[in-house]
This record gives sequence, C-alpha cells and structure tokens, in this order.
Amino acid sequence: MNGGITVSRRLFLGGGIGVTGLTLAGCGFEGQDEPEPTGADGAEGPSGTMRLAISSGSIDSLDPHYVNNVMLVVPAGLLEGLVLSNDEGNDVVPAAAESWEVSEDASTYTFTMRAGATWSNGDPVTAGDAEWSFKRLLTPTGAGTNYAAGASSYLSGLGIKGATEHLSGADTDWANVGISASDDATLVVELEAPNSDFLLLMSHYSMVLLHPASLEAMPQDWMQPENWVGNGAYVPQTWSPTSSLKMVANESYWDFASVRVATIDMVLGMDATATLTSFNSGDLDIVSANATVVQQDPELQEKIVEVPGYGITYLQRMWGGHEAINDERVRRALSMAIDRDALAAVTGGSEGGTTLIPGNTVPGWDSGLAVAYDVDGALALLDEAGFGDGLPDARLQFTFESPWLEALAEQWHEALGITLHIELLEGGVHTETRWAPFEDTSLMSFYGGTFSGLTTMSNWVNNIFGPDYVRQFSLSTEDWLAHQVIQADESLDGAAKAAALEESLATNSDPRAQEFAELAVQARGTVDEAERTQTFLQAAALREEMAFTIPLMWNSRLFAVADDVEGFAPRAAPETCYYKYLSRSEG
Amino acid sequence: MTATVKAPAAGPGPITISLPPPRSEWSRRAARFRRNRLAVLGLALVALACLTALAAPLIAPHHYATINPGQEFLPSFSPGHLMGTDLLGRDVLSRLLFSLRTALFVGIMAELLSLIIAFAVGLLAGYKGGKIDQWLMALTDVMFAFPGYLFAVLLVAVLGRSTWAVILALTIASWVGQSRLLRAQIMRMKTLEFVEAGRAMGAGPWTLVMRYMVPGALGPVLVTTSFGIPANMLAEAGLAILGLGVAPPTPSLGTMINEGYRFVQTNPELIAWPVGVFVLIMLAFTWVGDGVRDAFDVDES
Amino acid sequence: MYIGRRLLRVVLCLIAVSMLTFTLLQLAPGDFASIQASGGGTVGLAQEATSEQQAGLAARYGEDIPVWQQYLKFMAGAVTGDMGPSYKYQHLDVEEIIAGAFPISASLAVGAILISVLVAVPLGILAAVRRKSVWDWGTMFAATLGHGLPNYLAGLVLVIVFSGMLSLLPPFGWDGPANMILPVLALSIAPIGVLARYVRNSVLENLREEYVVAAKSKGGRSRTIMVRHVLRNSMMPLVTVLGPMFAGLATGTIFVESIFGVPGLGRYFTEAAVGRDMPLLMGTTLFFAALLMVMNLVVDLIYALLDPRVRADLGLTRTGEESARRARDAGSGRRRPVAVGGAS
Repeated sequence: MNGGITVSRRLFLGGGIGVTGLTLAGCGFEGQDEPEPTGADGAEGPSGTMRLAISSGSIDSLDPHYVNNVMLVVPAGLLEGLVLSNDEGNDVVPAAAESWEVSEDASTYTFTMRAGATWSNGDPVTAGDAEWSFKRLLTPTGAGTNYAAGASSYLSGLGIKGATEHLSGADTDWANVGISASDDATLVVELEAPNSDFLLLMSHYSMVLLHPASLEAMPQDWMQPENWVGNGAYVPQTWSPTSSLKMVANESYWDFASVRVATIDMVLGMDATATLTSFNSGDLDIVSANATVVQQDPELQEKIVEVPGYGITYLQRMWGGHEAINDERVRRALSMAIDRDALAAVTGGSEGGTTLIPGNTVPGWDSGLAVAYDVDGALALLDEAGFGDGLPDARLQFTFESPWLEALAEQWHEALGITLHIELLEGGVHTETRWAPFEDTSLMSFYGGTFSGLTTMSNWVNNIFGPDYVRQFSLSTEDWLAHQVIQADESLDGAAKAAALEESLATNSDPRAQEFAELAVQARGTVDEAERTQTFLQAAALREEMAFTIPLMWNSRLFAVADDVEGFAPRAAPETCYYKYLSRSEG
Repeated sequence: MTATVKAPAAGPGPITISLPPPRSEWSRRAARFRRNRLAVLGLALVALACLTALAAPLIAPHHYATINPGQEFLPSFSPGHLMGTDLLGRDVLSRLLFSLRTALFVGIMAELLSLIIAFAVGLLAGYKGGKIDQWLMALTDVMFAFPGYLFAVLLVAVLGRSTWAVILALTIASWVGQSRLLRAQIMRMKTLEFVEAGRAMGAGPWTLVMRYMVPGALGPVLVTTSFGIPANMLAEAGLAILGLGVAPPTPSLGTMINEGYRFVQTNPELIAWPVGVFVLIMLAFTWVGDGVRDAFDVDES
Repeated sequence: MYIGRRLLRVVLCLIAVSMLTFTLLQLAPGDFASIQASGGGTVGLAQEATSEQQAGLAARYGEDIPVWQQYLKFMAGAVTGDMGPSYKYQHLDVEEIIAGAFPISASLAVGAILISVLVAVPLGILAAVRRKSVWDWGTMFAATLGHGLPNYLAGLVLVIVFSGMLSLLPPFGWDGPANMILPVLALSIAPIGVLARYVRNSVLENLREEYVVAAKSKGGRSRTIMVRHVLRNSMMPLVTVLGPMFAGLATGTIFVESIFGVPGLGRYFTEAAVGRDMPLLMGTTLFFAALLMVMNLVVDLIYALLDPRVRADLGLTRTGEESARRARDAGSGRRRPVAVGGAS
C-alpha cells in the first residue's frame, strides 16, 4: 500500500517540475473491470440485483451538500465528481473530468470535461455545471449550507483560493473564488498553495456535480426518484428514507458498458442481528459487520473484508471541570495509563490508536509519534505535577454504549486509582453540552468522539484535528468563552468577524498550537515529498505533546461479502466502494 | 386456571366491587388466593426474586462491572462463572442478579409513583366531582393521547439515562389508567349505602375517603399493581433497546437482552439467561395478578 | 349532540397535545441544526457555523421568528393540511410522510389484529369450555408467555426460523405481500396472549350467567346455547379492546419496522424525536394522538350501540362511556409505553 501511494504521488506531482496533464485512465480499475469479452457493444448489459446493508441509519436526503448518510450512496453511484478515487484510496482516476493539467507551480488545475458525457436526461455534463455545484456548496446562506459544515468545511482542506473566505461570508464576490468554467469543457481551479491532497479530496462526496436545471426548477423535489437527473452509474428507482434505496443502472452513464449489476438495492435501518441473519441466508450480498460478533463466528470470518484505518476514536478534554486537566502532564499521564490494545480488543475491529493519525494506514506516519502504554511513567509524571497522592475523578460523556467505555474506566481505576464516571447522553444533549464549560469543578471532564476520513497525512493534520480545532481546544476556558462571544457577535460583518476570530486564536491559544497551525499549513504547501512529510510529522508531534485530544483506537470497518460478489474494493471512505465495479461471478 | 376465576378481565380493568368488605373478608380473600396454586407459585417466585435482588451484593460471586480481559465469552457452567461471561468477560450471573435488582426497583418504584399520583388524582376527581373532575379527566385524556415514547426521549434527554429518569418516564406513561380506575371506584362507592351511612354519622370527607372508600378500592388497585409492575419491567427493557434505558455500568435486564441479542447466533446463552429470568418474572407477576383478581372477586357469594 | 360534544373534546385535546409537544421540544436540550452538525462532525471538521450560516439555517428552519409565531404558523399549516417540509427529510412534506408511511403501519396492525382474533378467539373459547383441562392450562400458559414476550425477540426468532432455516419468506423489505407475513406474525404474538385471556374470561363469565343456566335447564342443545348466547355476548366486549389495540399496534411498530425493513411511520417518529425535527415530530405526535382518540370515540360508540343496557337508555349516558373506558384502559392503555418500547 505504501509503495502504491509513493508511486502515484510521484506520478502526479512529478517532482514539482513540468507537471503536465496526466491521464490516469487505464491504471487500476479498468483492467479489472474490463467487460467480459462477449461483445464490445455491451450486447450483454447489466443484469441481476445486488443487495447491500451497510448502514443502520436512514438516508434522509440525496443532497450531497447536506451532511447525512447520503455520503454512503451518492458518490458510490448516483452522482460523479470530476474524479473518482482509485481502489486503494490513495490516488484518483478520471470521472466527469476526462483529464487535467497541473500548472508548473502546482497551484492551478485545469480540468477537461469528458467529451460526450451526459446527465441521465441527455443534457451534456459541462464545466458550468461543475462551477454551479461548487458555488452552491460554498454559498454561506444557500441551500448548500444545510450544515454542510462538515461537507463545506472540507473545502478548507482543498485550499481553493478564496473558498474559505466566501464560505465564511468574509468575501461575497464569487469572482474572487478560484473556480471558473472557461468554456463548457474546461474548469479551472486555482489553489492558494500547492496541495498534495487536492485531487484526492476532489473525490469527496460533497464535490460531486449536480444538475443545475433540475435543482433550480424543483428546489425540494429534485431528489425524488421520478425527478432525478444524475451523472452517476446508477439512478434512484425507489427511495424510502428509513428502509431502502433502490438504484438501477443509468444507461446514459459514460461508462455504462462496464456496469455489470442492473439493480443495487441498499437496505437501510436494519438491525445488525437481522442483517447478519439475512446475509447468512443469502438475501444480502454485502453487509457491514460488528467486529465483536465476527470474532465469535468462525464461519463468518471467512467472508469478512476489513478496511483498516477507517477512523479514530478519541477523548477530548472539555473546558471547565477540575483544573488538574489543564496541566499537560496530567493529560499525558492519563493518556499513558491507557492500554489501547486492550481497548481495541474488547471493541473489536480496531487497533490501539497511539496517535491522532491512524498510523496503520496513513503513509509517512512515524512510530516516534506514538504514546507508549506506561503506567509507571504516568505515575512519575503525576508525581512531578504534584498529583502524587492522587488525581481527582474524571467523567466522560458519550452518546452510545460501547465496550471500550467501561474498559477504559477499569484501566484508569487500576492504574491511577481514579473513578471515571461514564455519562451516556442523548444526542441532542451531547451536542449542546460538549463544547460548553463543564460546571462541576470536582471532575476532569472529557467527551468521546470518532472521526474518519481520507488516509493521507495532510487530511489528518489539516482537516481532522486541524489548525483551528487544535487552537480552539487549547484555549483556556475563559478565552474559549470570549472566543464564542466574538462568534455570536452580530454587529461584526463577515470579514471583521473572521479577522477577530483568527486574532483570538492566534493570541490566546497555546503557543505550540499556533506553531502546529503554521506548520500544518506550511506542510500542505510544500512540494517536496520528504520535506512535506517531515513538516507534517513535526506538526503532529506538537499536537500529541499537548494532549488536549487523546487518541484511543484506530478503527476499521468490517464487511461480510457473499462469495460470488466480485469487484468489491472497499476504501476508507464512507461510500465504501463504487457500485460500477461490482459484479457477480458466474455459477 | 383454577376454581376461583370469575370476572371477565384481561387485566386491571373491569372489576366491580359491590359491597364494603367486612374484616373477615380479608381472610376469605387470602383463602381464595391460597387455593389458586399458580398464584401461590407466582407469589413465591416474586418473593424469591425480590429477596435475590435485595441480597444481590451478598450472593453475587463477582462485581457486576468487573472486567476480566482474556475471559470473554466463557460458556455457561464454566468454573467460577456459572452462567459464563459476556463480551467484556463480566460474570453473567452477577450481572443478572443486579439486573434483577434494577428491573424490580424500576418496576416497583414506577408503579408506586404512579399509584401515588393516581390516588391523588383519582380521589380528588372521584370525590369532588364537578369542575375538578372534568379538568382532571381532560388532563388524563391529553396524557392518554400523548405518545409515551416522546416523554421517555425528552426525560432521558433532560435527566440523563439514570434509573430515576426511566422510572419517571414509566410513571408518566402509566398513571393515567390508574387514576381513571380509582376515580371510577370512588364515584361508584360515593353512592353506596355504607358510605352514605358514614356521612350521616358525621364523618368528615377525609374520614369518608380514607376509612370507607380507599379500602374498597384497594382490590382493583392491587390487581393493576400486580400487572403494572411487570408491564413496567417490559417497558424498561423496551427503552433499553431504544438506547434510552438505564445507563451502564448499572446492569439491567433490558441492556443484557439487548447485548445478548447481538450475539444470538454465536453465543445464544447470553440472551437465553436474561430472557429466561425475564419471562419467568413476567409469568410470576401475571399469576399473582390473576390470583389477586380472583381473590377480590366477590361474585362467588 | 353527544358525538358533537365528544368531537369537540377531541379537538381541544389535540390542541393541548400540540402545545405540550411544542413546549417540551423547546425545553429539550439540543436543536435540529446542531445535532445534524455533530453528525457531520464525524466526517469533516468540528466547526461552529459562522453567523451567516446560522442566519441561513434559522431562516430555513423558520427559527427567525418568535417561538409562539412558529407554533401558530405550524398549527395553521396543520389545520389546512400543509405542515411544510420535514427538517430532516427536506424533500418531503410532513403530511406526505404520514400519508405514505401510515398506511403501511396500519396494514401491519390490521393484519396483526386479524391474526390475533383468528387465533385467540378459538383458543380462548377452547380454554373456557375445557376449563381446568390441559387445553386450558396450556393455552393460558402460552398466552401469558406471549403476552410477556417482547416483539423484537419474536421477530428475530421468526427471521431465524422462516428466513434463515427454512428460506421460506423474505426477512426484510417491502416489495410485496410476502414481506408482510413475518412482521404481522411478530406483531400479533402479544395481542394473541392478551385476547386469548380476555376471551376465556369473558366466555367463562357468560357461561355462569343466568340466561345460560336457564337455557340449559330448558334442555337447549349446548352447542346452540354456546353459539347463540354465550359466544355472541362474550364477543361484544372484544370490540372495546380491539380499537385501542389497533391504535397501539399502528403506532407501536418501531422494532418490527426496524427488524423487517418496513417503511412505516414508527421509524419516522423516533427519528424526529431524536433529531428534534419539529414539523415532523409535531405532525406525527398529533397524528398518533388523533388516531388514538378517534379510535376511542369509535369504540365508545360501538360499545354504546352493542350494549343493550346502554342502547335502551338512548341518551348514551356516561355509564356506557365509563365502562368502555375501563375496558379500553384494560386493553391497551396500561401498556402504552410498551406499545412503543416492547411488546403489545
């Protein structure tokens, strides 16, 4: 895997010199998905049904600019962005864009739209459609901001010129954003600085294209199956948000010839045990599986496909609470007293997560970052911090039951003699309280969370636990409250507020957090690969050292896959795989 | 079931009491109850369950939350773990004993609380009548139509997933029926001769209600109680399934069933034990309820 | 007159329910947007919305006007049948969701009621007629057991047996009538228990009634007596149980919907509560409340019509209503939390 990523990176950055258009078509997926030699005209079209159950949640919306389970299906088959990710998830292949050129300074990308590609209603897919879609995503008060915060804030990782300012309202002139369609076939994207992850991030679900005409004509109903106009390999046929989404192959799709399965039936909201029962009886083809259950079932284990490094489980120090938590040595001692492998073992499907970067999958990761399990060291550190005779108790708020919670409580109790009070809060309560200073000053307070994302260093330094996150969480309680006052200040206009917030972070955050932020941005813009990785590691080391956020586990996702399913190449992305590659082996 | 079954009743509802019970009536009821072998068996089981629950800290071989790494998923009848261990290596028997404690506590407390409310509302509405009655009954109508699940979600949201939040949620869902039952009983008895006689003798309203009416209404109330406690336990399990039950590390039958359910195909005993205990208790309470209902049924004379 | 008064009460009651729901929703911690955002946080950034975004969101969710106006606006919409789009399912209006999902829940409930009646009535009669026999004991034991069995467990067992082991029926989905069988069976187990016990006791009571004794003493054939008198009179109270039972089933199918992948209304309701989706939560709560009250009204009327004592007293006095209400409370009211939470 590491080899793969290095090669492709070199391919696409070309050492930073004279990078010209690289068409990656033909590398990776096409060979594998070459249509059966039964006739090049696709005489044998897609057939059969494949049933997937990979989420117990509902699909509330098919709007890719809306943060919800849509990320499971839209990029997988309903809508296509300019590029798709490759099977390994470490590079891209052309999709709606046929090819692209990168400027010499690696900061301007010129995409050429695929000639002849059409929407499912026959309209050509144009560069203008792409610009329209990205503009919708970046418009602060438009349809796109339906708390696409997750989706649109992803754009700060992309580093498109002027995008962040436009999204925050600091600059309202779209002309200042580095996205423009110079003609129907050409889209030019300018970056603030070179970004090694740019193309990969363009495969994110929020960056798919939308059909402007149908969205404008039917602002609410465009996503109904009967009104759907898409450019993906599949179009929705029936959709019942809480129970199923049925998709059929899209004959207008540019690569229809390689689509093998006629109907994809995505089953939603199904109970995990019922899912497995159905899988075992052959009614489902690909299902997500619970790791602990899999551990108990040898027969099932043979059908399991694991996607490591899917995400991370972490503890976040909360503001307020007992002041001991503000002592870095205490936080580090707490972190050192965690037997992460044991947590992972009870949770299943995880590895001990020794850093905030999932080192088992992110290329360039260095074991020097890892926090060691060292109870004696932790006790020594506490002694040094003046807590030799004991720490105050701690509390942890989380939203659902998971075995690691109690295992962690047990570990801290044994190692440090403290009691960890676990509070499972209802979702609404959790969101309202997690960033508010915790009032009971007798307890050190944490909340638990998970993050997942692209397995690149830049993503795990710049986007996830990124500069603003790290700086915010390094603020003292008072400074955080002051920061929030600025955020809520309605008298400030977009630009002024953005400046005031940046000022607040730059001056009040831990100096190392500020340094982290600067290094992270610097690394992203560094063209030389070795130097870039080095800078990322330097930044990451600072983040680990402060220990405001404590890594626990690197999680993987498990899928049970029926024996006759082929072309299932899951990646560490929410959509898991692209449906267009799925097929069923004969007999 | 046995010889004493009389009234058409699927539960706590249509029970009628036509006469004030003389003292000896209680011993006759006890006798009737004793004749119902299932009811006696049920009562014995309930008593056993309560004792076990009370003594859980003494008789549990392990602490319910003690995690034993490396000893996960031991099968039942393993040395040291009679019912095996769960996914964290916790002793299932110990957890079951404490779960029983939680379940009974939740079931009984919720029933008690709703009885207190029901007595207040039912007596007030039934005795006072008129406007007060109309308002209180309108209130019960509203509460009756309000989905209990919503209360549970919001209460748990506000109070956290504590035992008391669950108890409150269950109470809110169950006081309505009991209030109406009590009100109906009181209204009926208000017109009975012996109450009239009491009034004529100058008994005050408090005395009338407490001395004459409450004892008369006790029968149906006992019946609803013996059906209500298991219903609460069932509801608690249901809330646990929806992620709204008592939060860990406190074990509850619902949580255990829920956890076992995930492993039903590979480790069926994880769900079999709690379900077995749960069903047995449900049966026991139902038998007791049947027995009590029959015992209070004065049709026989 | 009487019906008019009852209807008025239903309307007043619904208004009270709507106010209660709205108030509770305002008091509950968390709001739709922030819950949505924290869900998004797991894939992107934990980032607070800028004020422009917040303004946009507030406008989108109608939160830019005072709370009481929001309430009135919704209620005005509810009365005219236009409750607006759900927050969560933006492409669907609340009334569309209800209109689409309720018939599905209702069809399950009707199926379950039918099965329960078909199974429970003969069982109950058998148990009563063969009193104290193995039949009686076995039936009542099974009924009590079924009564206490959570329906998600029943559902799972059904899936394992009929889909897993026998491969007879589809375990999930909503493509055809075959998909109805397992959820209906899972739903009917608890009602069978309740009904069988009810029928048995009702038949036993009637067997002791004087007219039966009299008919017997006159030498009537026992079968005729059974059918003509006992059964007829025993089945009447059943009506009062079935109405609320239907309402309870139609609104209480959350687990069954989830296990069998049925797109019913229960799931929408829970998702709305958890996600603080105001229009959808208000819409579904009001709908459920209305359904329950209308069912009760219908039951009261039927009861009044069936009961000779009440029928004679054409005024349809409170007594009839009282007895109906008591029977009803016995039927489902008591176990309402369970209707959503577990069995029933």
